[in-house]
Amino acid sequence: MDDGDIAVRNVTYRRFVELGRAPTIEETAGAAGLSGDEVTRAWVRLHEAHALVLASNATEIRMANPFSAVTTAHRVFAADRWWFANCAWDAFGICAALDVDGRIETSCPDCSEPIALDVRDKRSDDESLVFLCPLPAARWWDDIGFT
Amino acid sequence: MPVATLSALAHAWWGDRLRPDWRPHTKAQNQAILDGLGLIGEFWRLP
Repeated sequence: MDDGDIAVRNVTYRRFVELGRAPTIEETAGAAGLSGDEVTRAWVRLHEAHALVLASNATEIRMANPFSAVTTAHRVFAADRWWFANCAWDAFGICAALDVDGRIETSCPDCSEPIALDVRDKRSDDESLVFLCPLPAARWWDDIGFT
Repeated sequence: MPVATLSALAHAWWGDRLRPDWRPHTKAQNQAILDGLGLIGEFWRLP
């Protein structure tokens, strides 16, 4: 991952937020002034460096962490639209990345009870909640989709 | 972990992700975030 790859990464994230969804290769290439092949190769290097996560076809974004490109159980309303997060940690991360307050809707992984909370000034309005991190840090990237 | 810790972790970890000058965190930077929130020990040791 070199400076050119980081520039592609930053354009990819910018377009993700502008569009409210993951940009395609063509949309990223247009914004970056590169060819589709150049963006594809950069995305693969960024995926290998854990700077984003590609879908199994290696031509679409699966995660621009903390944002998810696919539907998940973790929804966040922030900056006037709904987003999907990859996990509860990332749900707070979306508010953090956008630097705004927000609302998180998710569910308890233990009992499936719906959970809704507001994030105000970087804090949850319900401080009774707890977060379970299921894997040790050394294994987070073994299977980031599961993590 | 308490949700207050989770939110603090998320803001420290992800807060810079949309900055135009974003650069990858080093392992030491990320470990320092965990350590600073009391997330210490082998479970929280980054590879």
